[in-house]
Amino acid sequence: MKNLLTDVLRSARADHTEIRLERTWATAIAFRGSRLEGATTAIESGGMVRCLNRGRGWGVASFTGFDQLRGMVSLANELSLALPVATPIRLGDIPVRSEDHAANLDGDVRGVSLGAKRDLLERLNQDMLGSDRRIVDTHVAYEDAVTERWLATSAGVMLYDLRPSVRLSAAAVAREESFLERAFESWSVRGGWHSVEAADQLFRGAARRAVALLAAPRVKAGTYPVVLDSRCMGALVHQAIGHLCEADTLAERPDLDRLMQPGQRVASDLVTVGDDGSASSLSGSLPFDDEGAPTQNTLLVQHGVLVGRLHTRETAGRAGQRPTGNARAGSFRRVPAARLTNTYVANGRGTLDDLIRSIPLGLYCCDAMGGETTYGRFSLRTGYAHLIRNGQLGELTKPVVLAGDIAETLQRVDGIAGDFRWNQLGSACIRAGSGRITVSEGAPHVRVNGVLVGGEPV
Amino acid sequence: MIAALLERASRRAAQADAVLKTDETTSLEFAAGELVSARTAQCQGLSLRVVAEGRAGFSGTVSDDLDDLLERALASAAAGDPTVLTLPPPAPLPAVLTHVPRAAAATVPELVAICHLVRDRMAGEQAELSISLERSIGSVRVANSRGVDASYDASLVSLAVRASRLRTGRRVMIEARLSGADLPALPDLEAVVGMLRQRLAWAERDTEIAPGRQRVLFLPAALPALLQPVEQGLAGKAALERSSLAGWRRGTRALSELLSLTDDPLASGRPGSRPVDDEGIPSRTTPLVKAGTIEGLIYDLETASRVGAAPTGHGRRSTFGKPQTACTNLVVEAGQTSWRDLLAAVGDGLVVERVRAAGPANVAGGMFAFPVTLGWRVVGGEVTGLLPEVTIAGNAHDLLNRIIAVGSDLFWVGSRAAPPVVVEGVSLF
Repeated sequence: MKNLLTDVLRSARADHTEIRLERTWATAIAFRGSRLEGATTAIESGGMVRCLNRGRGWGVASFTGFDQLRGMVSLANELSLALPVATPIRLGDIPVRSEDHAANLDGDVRGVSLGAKRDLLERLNQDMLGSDRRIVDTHVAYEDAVTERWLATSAGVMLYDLRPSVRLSAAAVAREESFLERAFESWSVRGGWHSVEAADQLFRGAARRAVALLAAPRVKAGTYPVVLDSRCMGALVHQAIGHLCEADTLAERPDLDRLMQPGQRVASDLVTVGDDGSASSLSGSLPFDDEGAPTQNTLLVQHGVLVGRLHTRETAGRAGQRPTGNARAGSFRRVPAARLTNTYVANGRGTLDDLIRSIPLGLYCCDAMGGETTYGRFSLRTGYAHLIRNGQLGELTKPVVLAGDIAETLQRVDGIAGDFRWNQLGSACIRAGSGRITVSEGAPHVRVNGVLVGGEPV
Repeated sequence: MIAALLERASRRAAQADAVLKTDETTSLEFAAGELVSARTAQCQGLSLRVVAEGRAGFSGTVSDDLDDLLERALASAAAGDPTVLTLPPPAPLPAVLTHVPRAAAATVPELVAICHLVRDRMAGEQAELSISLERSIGSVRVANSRGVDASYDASLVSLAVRASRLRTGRRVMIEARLSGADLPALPDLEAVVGMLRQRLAWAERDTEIAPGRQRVLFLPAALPALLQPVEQGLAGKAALERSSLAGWRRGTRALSELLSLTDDPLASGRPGSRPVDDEGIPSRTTPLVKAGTIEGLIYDLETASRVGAAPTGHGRRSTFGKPQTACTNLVVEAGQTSWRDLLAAVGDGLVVERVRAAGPANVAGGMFAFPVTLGWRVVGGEVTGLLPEVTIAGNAHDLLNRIIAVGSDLFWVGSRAAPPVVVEGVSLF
């Protein structure tokens, strides 16, 4: 493949030509209740060529299979030449190098039969279905993939990456009379078949929680002091800070760009946030991004003040900065954009108990089932919550919706514990244009002195 | 290719069907008045299903390696559950417009000219404009071991125009979309420009609103978010699931009597239009809800065979994975109420034009909380200006029983068509 890439690039005519090729072996198995929804394998291959010429815009061609590569390089160049632009596009420099990154396949999933994978999932599913008579339905899924990726440019970059991934997810639905509750768990790592055994407890946890939520009370809407667990805080910081540090989003939003200038305070001085694509074996970990820039740990917020942004080569070139290794695309069909990888809140001091002790009435919010941000405001639905009464953890409650102004809420952070953890959830981040990517988040427990809690909408 | 595949599959499996889809999409993007990106994407995907020893297996490929495709489908069947699936025999297909030669043949300069026309008509407005235009040309061929061999061509042109303006530190973005098998006609482009201008005028004034229960006029672009759990409930599969509270069957009174829904694959030149589904079932119009009462459910082949219903032609296949049940063009029937009377019905409340609803809502229960990305304040039955940033929340099943007025004009948004609808009792915070 490298010979083909070298050969094709030698005859490329554009000032800048970038070729990204991918080949993926994937398995997907799913059960709904005790019924198998499907067990399939897939092999997919394809690529994207991007060309840029002086004084011209991007010409892009994507394709399935590799047979048409040479023609696609010409086509992308023609498209670029047809696009005169008033503002020249300058790309941030990346190191010219030739590297191979072959991750440990950790028990290559391609060598395990479809039947064995189905048996594993069926066992975990049956375990969940049989755990309580009130568990009336389940949705469970096993997915694995081994992806080969080649990235080559006309400047001489030649990179190869081989990565495995596995993902398990379980949703349990509990029902009693007309009450229905649902609990969800997912787990994902850049690993192979050997790592799957670690997920055994995942399914039972989801079933137990769905049943427990049936009898859990609703929370009265209002403003409460809240303590967010690692998953909830991770999701909040992904939505509320991470997306606001994507340089291409800011380039399209001059209003946000003015608000998000370095030096701007966006959180209390306890809060430090970063994004680290070079962290080991997490869902958002990569040796290089989809433009060939090496991934790195980028500090975004230090002691509550904005200090960094996530860049593609184009946004870095415009800002006169170095690319940060955040140009990511959901597949070879997608154009890379400045995206998150593994986003984290840095560790503080003390324990969860220390955060709860001083709260007379509040909420301990756990897990995140989805969130939205309109940049000024956020909303986040928790998986479940516990009341905090007189400094002690109280009863389980139904999920709540947290909402509010992002900056106001984060400036009310008044405690961060020293119990940081990365969440190995099967999280995905979706953005129009660049598609669905895998990400992860990490955080310690965080206390916020006053968050608008919508309760369970009824 | 597909005939050779089915011939090989028939030697090793009792039944087989396959779908071959090709697509070539040209995308143009304009920002600040100039073309900044041009893209072409070519793809081909072949999806195979086999039924071997009473079990169904699935595989897909983007390459020409038919042997590998067949082996993987057989391996999938060996790991699969027993099925009672019977593939359909050949049947006549209805006529439906899915492909317009002039749209398929339009050159890049012709597509650019459409964008220029919109840009020039919006030139007087103090707004930042971005325009994207996509033209896809594709083909679908579906065949099976019982002799079905159906195919059709498709063209789709989608235009999105976004006009944005800064208002007291907040960027207000107004978006209009058109899509269809043909190139957009001049009156449609004029309507887009007219809508953008009207919204920009509304956005001149800021307003305030107190949290609490409100009457909300949902515009067609915001309505699909509310209808999402209904769509799921109308999939015949939901009736098989003990987790569905809806438990809908024919005759169930489920929604407001002002609401009627139809699935219409035979609508002319719309994104979901097709003469045949991806499993070889001829398309037909399916009434789903009549005056709030369930009239019909939609099925793919496997779900239909499991519940003993006739297939309705709602199987949709991607290259990889098994067919899924999905609506084609979902049409909410227009009502009687004029725009002015809809606003009067709101009285003191809001118009929701767009919500941000990409995240996983609790679809089964119908619960949602959506930030409103564009909305308008209504006082005394008049639009008074731009709504501040708010979140609306509620239970979709509950709110769709609290419809108090349905507009008389139907608007298409992609493969969904709906009139504006007024709902009372929506939580705002």
